[in-house]
Amino acid sequence: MSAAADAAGVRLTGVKKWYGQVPAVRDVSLGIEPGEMVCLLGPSGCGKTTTLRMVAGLENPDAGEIRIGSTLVNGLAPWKRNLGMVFQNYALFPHMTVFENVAFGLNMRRLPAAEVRRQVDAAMAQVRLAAFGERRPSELSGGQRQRIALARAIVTKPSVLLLDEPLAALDKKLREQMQVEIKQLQRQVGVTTIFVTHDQEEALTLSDRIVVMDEGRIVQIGTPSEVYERPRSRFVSDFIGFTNSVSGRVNSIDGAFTRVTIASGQVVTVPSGAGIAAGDAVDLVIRPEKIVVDPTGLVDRSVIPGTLAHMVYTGAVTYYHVDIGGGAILIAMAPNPDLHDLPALGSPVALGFKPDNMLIFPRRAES
Amino acid sequence: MNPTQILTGERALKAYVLLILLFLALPILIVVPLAFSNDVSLTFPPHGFSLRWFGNILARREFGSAFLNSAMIACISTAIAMVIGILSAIAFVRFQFPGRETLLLLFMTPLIFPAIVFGAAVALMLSPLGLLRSVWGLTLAHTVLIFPYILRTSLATLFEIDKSLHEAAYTLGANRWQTFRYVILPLLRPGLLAGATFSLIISFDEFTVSMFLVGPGLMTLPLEMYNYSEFSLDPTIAAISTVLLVITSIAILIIEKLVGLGKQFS
Ligand SMILES: Nc1ncnc2c1ncn2[C@@H]1O[C@H](COP(=O)(O)OP(=O)(O)O)[C@@H](O)[C@H]1O
Ligand SMILES: [Mg+2]
Repeated sequence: MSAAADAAGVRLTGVKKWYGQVPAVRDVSLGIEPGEMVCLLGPSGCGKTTTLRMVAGLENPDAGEIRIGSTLVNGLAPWKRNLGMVFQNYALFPHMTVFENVAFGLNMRRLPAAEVRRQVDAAMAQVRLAAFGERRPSELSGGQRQRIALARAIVTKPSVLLLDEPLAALDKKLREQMQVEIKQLQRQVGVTTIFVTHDQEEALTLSDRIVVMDEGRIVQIGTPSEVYERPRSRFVSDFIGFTNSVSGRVNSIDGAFTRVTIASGQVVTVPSGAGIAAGDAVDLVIRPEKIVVDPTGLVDRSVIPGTLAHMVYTGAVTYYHVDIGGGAILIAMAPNPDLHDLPALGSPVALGFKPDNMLIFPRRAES
Repeated sequence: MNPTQILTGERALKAYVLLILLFLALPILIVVPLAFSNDVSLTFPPHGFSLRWFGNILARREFGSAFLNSAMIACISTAIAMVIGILSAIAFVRFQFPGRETLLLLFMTPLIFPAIVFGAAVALMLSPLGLLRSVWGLTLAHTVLIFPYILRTSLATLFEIDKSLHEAAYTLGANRWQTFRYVILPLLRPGLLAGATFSLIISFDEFTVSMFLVGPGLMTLPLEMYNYSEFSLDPTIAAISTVLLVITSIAILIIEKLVGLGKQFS
């Protein structure tokens, strides 16, 4: 299939949506490039589905503009938008065969029968279910239904593909396999794709860019590594990946560097964060894999001493829970490259990290 | 309970069920052999074998015209009730509007309203309109009577159709009409066929309300049979009943094949 030729960009400007008194989407502005795969990520109820449904035309925004390509689509019926959408429950038509399901969009576009057959066969081959045309959806497994829903959505060569938690109903193994397939298919077809999930791993794996949402607003947009490595708020750092946090108070700020006294009394120097002044209560946040256990011989590392309180061995990696004093525990993750002696519980360990990897956020109100 | 107790319990249950079935089927078991009786009056057990009572149905013109009346009224009222029923069901499922619950209740009243009261009321209402003793008056009354059945089956089937199926059709380029035509209607069809079959039977079989609305020159089959049995109690009635029994059984079998009868009562 020829790629990106008809892929269209999508632009949302100041989009808002209420359900009665409930604000579902408060103010969303977002530009998506043609052929890009963007993921809306956020906790349940943050407005992802509503945003997606407004792009699809299944809901109308109360304020703001939505453009697909250069066309303003506010108020345009969904059937006039040339979209493909995969629903969480797949929404395959139960009274039609798999072939008829995939052919539905083409038939609505009144393509000649031979052309419909050719394109449906191609799409079904693309999702590796070429031999399943005569079956009913009820005779397929979850993963197969998912693939048929995908074939049905892409066969019409939509300008935008929308997926609402398409993998949520699958078990972990199948989900990981489908992630790869969806990504490959999206690359092949080159269709602009908006993808909704509350699974951060899925978002990191699949997206060109991640749009993190919270309570109807976008809180950060960036590539997976930007969002993971440089979360702009405590919410984002907590939502994506596992993080450690240590509370402290700002001692002094010296341009690009901030000195923070942490609970154990030690002073740690970290890059300055926006909106933080001397004397502020802050949280220092760092990912477990950015902490090195026993950093002897490594340069540019800040070191915090502690004692090993607990260990979680998971095969590929081990998590070291280290008590650094003052009631604070830091968790370090280290791969298990060789058979080696693990340190004994209660023994002293030094933790090393690059100051750059330590993020500073205002202390979060206790919840 | 020990095993013997359970066993006797099971036997008792079996006997009980058998008895009930027998009781329900008894009229049928009696009426069918009577239809083939050679007696001139309705007596059981029948003596001899003859098909002349079936011949008598054909010979007496009034049965033929009453049958046609009943069939026509059943078909037309079912067709009207279907159209109104489906549209109302869609409105009830799709929209929230003030008075929705009350309206639904109102539409369902013919199911529980005493037929005799309904019949009298309809007669009073149709009389000034000049629709008494008219096929159209009867058809109208039957439409109201069977409407709840159609509405109920349509509602039940519509509720089962996932909202995301409409939406999937929309995103695939189907407009409202195409979505209804190619997705919703095919999914409604089994439920509608079942509703339609029941309605046909109910209308065809209707007695109490029709009694108020018929008159000389306009008879339905149940009333014609009743009139006939007032004067002559010969097996002709049994013969007609047998014919109706066969027609009804075939209809029920068709529904069973299409949707499964149990589903319509659950
Ligand atoms: N049809 C609806 N009627 C009323 N409230 C709704 C409806 N759909 C969603 N909401 C509300 O809008 C908010 C956002 O919902 P949604 O977009 O589905 O979130 P997400 O997909 O991120 O879980 C939630 O508070 C939800 O309860
Ligand atoms: Mg959702």
